[in-house]
Amino acid sequence: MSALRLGIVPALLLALTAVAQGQEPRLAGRVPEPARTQVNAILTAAHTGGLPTEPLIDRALEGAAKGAPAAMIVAAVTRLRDELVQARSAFGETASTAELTAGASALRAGATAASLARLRAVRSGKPLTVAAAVMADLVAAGVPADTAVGAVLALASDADDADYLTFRRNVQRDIALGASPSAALAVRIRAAVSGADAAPSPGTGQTGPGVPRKRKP
Amino acid sequence: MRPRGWRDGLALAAWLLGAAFPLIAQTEGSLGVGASVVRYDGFLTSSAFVFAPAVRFDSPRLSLAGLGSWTVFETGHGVIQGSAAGSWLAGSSGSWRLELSGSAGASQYAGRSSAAHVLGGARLHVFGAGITRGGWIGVNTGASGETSGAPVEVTMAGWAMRKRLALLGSATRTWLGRVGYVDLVGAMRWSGPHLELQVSVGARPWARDPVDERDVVAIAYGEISAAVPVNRWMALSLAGGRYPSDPVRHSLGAAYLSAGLRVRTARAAPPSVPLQTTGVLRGRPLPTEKDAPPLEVTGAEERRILRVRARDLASVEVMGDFTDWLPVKLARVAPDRWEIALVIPAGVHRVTIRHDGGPWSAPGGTRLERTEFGEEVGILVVP
Repeated sequence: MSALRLGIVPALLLALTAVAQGQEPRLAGRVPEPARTQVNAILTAAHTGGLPTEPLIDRALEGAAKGAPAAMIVAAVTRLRDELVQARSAFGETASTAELTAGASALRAGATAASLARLRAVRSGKPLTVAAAVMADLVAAGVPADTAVGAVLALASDADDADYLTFRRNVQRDIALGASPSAALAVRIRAAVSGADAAPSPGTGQTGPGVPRKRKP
Repeated sequence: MRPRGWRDGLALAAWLLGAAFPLIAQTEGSLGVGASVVRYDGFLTSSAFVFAPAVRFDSPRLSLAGLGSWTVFETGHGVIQGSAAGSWLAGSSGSWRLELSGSAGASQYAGRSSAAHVLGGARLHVFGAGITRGGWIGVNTGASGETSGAPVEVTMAGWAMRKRLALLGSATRTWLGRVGYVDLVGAMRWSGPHLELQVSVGARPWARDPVDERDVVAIAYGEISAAVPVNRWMALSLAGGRYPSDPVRHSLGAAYLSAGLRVRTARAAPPSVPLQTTGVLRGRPLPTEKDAPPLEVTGAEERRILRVRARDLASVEVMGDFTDWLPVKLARVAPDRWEIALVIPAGVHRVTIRHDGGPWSAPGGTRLERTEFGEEVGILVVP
């Protein structure tokens, strides 16, 4: 613990020095003190550590736009910073800002850093932003996190971004039509893997683009 | 009693009033539970569970009723509904009597969309010799949700009674903004010591809904219900059929089959509507009170078009990470279309929207996330 503290103190001093040299101008006049000073310190440290600062600035501005108190803004920015660190450790140093933001969003939705790392491994050399976002959307739609991760990984080697978005739309539509999240995912993953994702929704008896879709109340 | 709508409640009350003057003042509380299979217009068939407490007071001239209900569908979505109604019968003038009434109701579906109505009305009754037949002409008006203009219902009806049998026929013309329709209903009720049977058939032969805003169409409908008293306190009921939408009271049309049990504090007279579950299921808000309109994104990174399709709005604003969390107004490019061009890089974005200067909320079509700041944002994936 003491070693950690010894490491943190110089980092903070370094950050404060950087803040004194230049502050993020978009925070001025919008983010209240002392939050602005603290967020600037986080930004400086993040920049030094190779993390993207734009998502952190956005989160601070979001808090300011919603009239959040200073402590809440700092806590939100700190949490996002930690999520970005986890996402980067999973996706690797070369991950783009969009990929890290999507990874952080997936972590917040319930995915794990290990599942993101597996996604990176399976989709080597391919963009991760949409895949990670779809993973988060599926979890938010009620699909268990492990199942959602498994589904996204099952498509990872071949699917492009459009395939992922189609897959997500179909699963969400089946859920809206009354299918359980797990059942919807199972049906759609089978269809996607077999290349026949125009199959009817479970239990609806409807198919084809010309048929009006209905859902349960 | 829980009428499907105050109009029909009054229709049913008419033969009670005609048959039972003078009523002995009494208060009755009841609790209904039931299960149904229902298919609302525009929706798939779903099962539902209903829990419905009710209270009613009747005196020779005054009737008051209140009902709450909680309906849970198999998707987990629910309707919470409350309503109150009252009517006062003025003094007699020969065979003519005047009845004044009022009702109010509100409902909320899935914790989001809600609807309310407040109606008042007057009805002029005429009673035949021996109070075995009669009729009335009445009008209802008030406010119905955000509908521009007051709804107006004009009803003419006649009824007749013979021993255990009551017959009713009515014609109602309804105006609701640009929407209008006519309902013709014939109903029969037979009340025996061990069974009460009620049958109604109806038709909406004419309907005008120029922009499909209320899903009002010309249809035929009918219902049948039976109630079997188990003892003084309890009755079993079974019902099924189809009923039309009621835009004034924000209920969808539906076909249903339901069974229920009602426990009451007293059983001095048969209930005017035997099956509570049929009525309370009708509180489902109309599709016009649906979720926020979706936020559409088209175009390439350097010029994305954000588009919202919505009518009857004065302003639409978005605010998100791509605006540095500053509000930007969308321009109305068509009566039902709002747009703005922005630079939005591919990725995952956080966005909120507001209409007519109201509260900020997640746009339709985005993943909702509850933030540390105590509000919700929409997570938007831009490929």
